[in-house]
Amino acid sequence: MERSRDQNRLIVSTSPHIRSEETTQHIVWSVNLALLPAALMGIYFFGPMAAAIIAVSITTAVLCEYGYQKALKKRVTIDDGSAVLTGLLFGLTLPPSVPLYIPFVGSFVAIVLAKQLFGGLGFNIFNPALIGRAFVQISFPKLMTVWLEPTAAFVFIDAKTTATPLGILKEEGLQKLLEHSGTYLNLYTNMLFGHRPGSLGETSVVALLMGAAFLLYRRYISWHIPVSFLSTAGLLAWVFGGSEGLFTGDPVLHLLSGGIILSAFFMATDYVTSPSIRKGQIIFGIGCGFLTMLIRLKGGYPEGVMFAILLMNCFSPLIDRSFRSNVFGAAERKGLLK
Amino acid sequence: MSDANQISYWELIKNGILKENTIFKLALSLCPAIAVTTSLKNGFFMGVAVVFVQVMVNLTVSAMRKFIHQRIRLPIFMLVISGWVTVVNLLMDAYVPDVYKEVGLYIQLIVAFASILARAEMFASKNRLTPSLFDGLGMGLGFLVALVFISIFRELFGKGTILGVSIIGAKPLLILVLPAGGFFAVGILMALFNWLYARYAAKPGAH
Amino acid sequence: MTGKDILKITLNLAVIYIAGGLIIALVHAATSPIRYHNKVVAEELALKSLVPDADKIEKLGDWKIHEKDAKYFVAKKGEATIGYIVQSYGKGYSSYINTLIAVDRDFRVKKVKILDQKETPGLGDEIEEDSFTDLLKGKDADHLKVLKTETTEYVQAITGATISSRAVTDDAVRNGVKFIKATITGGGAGHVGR
Repeated sequence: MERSRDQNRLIVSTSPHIRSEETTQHIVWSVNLALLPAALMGIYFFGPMAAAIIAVSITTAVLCEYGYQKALKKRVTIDDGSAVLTGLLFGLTLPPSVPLYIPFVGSFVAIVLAKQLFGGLGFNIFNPALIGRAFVQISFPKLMTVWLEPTAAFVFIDAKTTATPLGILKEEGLQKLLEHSGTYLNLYTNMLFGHRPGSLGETSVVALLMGAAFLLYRRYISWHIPVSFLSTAGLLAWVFGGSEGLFTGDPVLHLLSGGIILSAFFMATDYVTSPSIRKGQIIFGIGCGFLTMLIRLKGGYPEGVMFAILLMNCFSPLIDRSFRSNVFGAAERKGLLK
Repeated sequence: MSDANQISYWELIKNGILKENTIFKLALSLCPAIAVTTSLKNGFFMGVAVVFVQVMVNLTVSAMRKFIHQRIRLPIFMLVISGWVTVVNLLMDAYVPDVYKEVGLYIQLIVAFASILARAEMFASKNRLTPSLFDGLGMGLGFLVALVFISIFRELFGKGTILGVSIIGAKPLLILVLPAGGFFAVGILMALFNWLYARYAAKPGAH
Repeated sequence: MTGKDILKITLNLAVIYIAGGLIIALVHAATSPIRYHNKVVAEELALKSLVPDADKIEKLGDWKIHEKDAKYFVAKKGEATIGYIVQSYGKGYSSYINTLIAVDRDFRVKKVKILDQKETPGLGDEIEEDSFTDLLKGKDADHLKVLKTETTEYVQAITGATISSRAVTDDAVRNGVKFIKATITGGGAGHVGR
């Protein structure tokens, strides 16, 4: 009994919409399922090491959650799937060449520092997987910027290190990127299916969109954040992303590269760390898109989605509150005028 | 507090280091605690500067406590503090120039430390010279000890060195020497300190 | 407030100001030669370490880069000029990087020393290490260019710190070398890009 009450409380606190037949547990496991195609594509392209990285990441996350809750004599909640999801998401954002202690450290930080110390699921301000990612990005900057050429063969071979499309775009420009793959069509198809260097789970746009479509169809996520996020980023890429002045950028290229698809559908939509009011979600998405492009085009890093979402996470409670108080304020004003 | 002679001097020092530790218990002066603790050397000299200022301010205020008019005591305290900070600033620039180059700005900021003004107002202006000396020493040492622990933690795990000497041979967690990691380090050590202190204070016979 | 209070307050402030002023003046007087010595010696040592075989280093003049004042020197052995030293700044990731560059008579880099920088610890601050500054040795202005790929002809960027590598190589050192070359060969203050 204790248990079902807890679960109901979680649903109410994270989302104001009535979905009595859905439990948090069910939703979280569905998101895990939706990420499976992308994970499999990552393993297909980057080989057995990719599978090992994801496995270490998930195992560490689950063990940390279990250990922390045991140590503090709290109820163990690893069966709700949220630790698995954090581990999986974090693993998918890693470059395929990292040594296995990086998923270990990152998952530990994600679960213990970013989630449990704030009070566990439902109380964390920042997306745990992204905090883990930011932590290892800053701690191991060299290891985190080594990218592998996809091999698309499930064998242990020394894959060539290379730069990501975004890295090349930033450092050497679009022409260089085209040289690599020949035609625009080749470039786009490669990026669509995930035959490009990048993080494990971010490269295969098709697999990610399949998962996203499933979640949208089941209404586990709403379109507001991903659509406003991606359209803002695309618009800004088109206006400011070109090398020959305004309106010469390539929005499609920017949307297919980096981790923007993975992040827009699976991270920015996290119930706990994004606004729960529709209007607020659109503001949140626009903010994410704006910050992403600001970092990509003007910042020191080639990719900016991680910091963009983390920064917008800070504003989520504020966005939610400002939209609520607007309604109260309007009523009050009316009363005063009478 | 005025009958401080009943408390032993050792108690006064222990109070500053444990019960009212500026950083770990009062959570004051966190800005320099994060800014200067990227290496043990910087953290140590910053702590020494604070010990010096706290002791000298306490002594000065205590010596003048009957002479100072109540109405302008706070401006007088501030003048005394800024005077001693200027002195320590000049001394460090002269004798430890390489440390001063990195922490100089924060040495000057000691003027604005809440803990120093608070001890002058709450303790030194009401007590005789010797207790004020030990109170200043305790509070200053509390800050020094905290800074030393934080900087050992950050230098060892962030750069893999202690006092510039390589211990680990790699940079295990670079984030610790960056500002973001400074917050992590202070938070983790603060939790550890309070956990240990709670266990210590719970023991019978301890204060 | 009575007259007595005002008198006491005045006396308070007077005593504090006089005593404080005296103490600070004394400390200042006692430490001032040491502080001056520190700065001069530090600069001399830095210059000397750049051209160890020179027995005389003379200041030639001042120039400006990134709105900052910089100096340049000539290094002599006996009466013969064996090289030049120029101070220069580069705009890095999070700071202006203050560098000293020694060049030989053909204006090739002999040695580069980073005097001051506040780049990202663990990444950008590796520009201070010999493993990076040695890459610049022997290069002339045309070859002071950072590439992200493996290269010995040009300068290979530090992994993950391209901006800082570029700030030193393409900005500070290249502009410094161009300036000293133009100044010495052209006779006057030469034109420097940027």
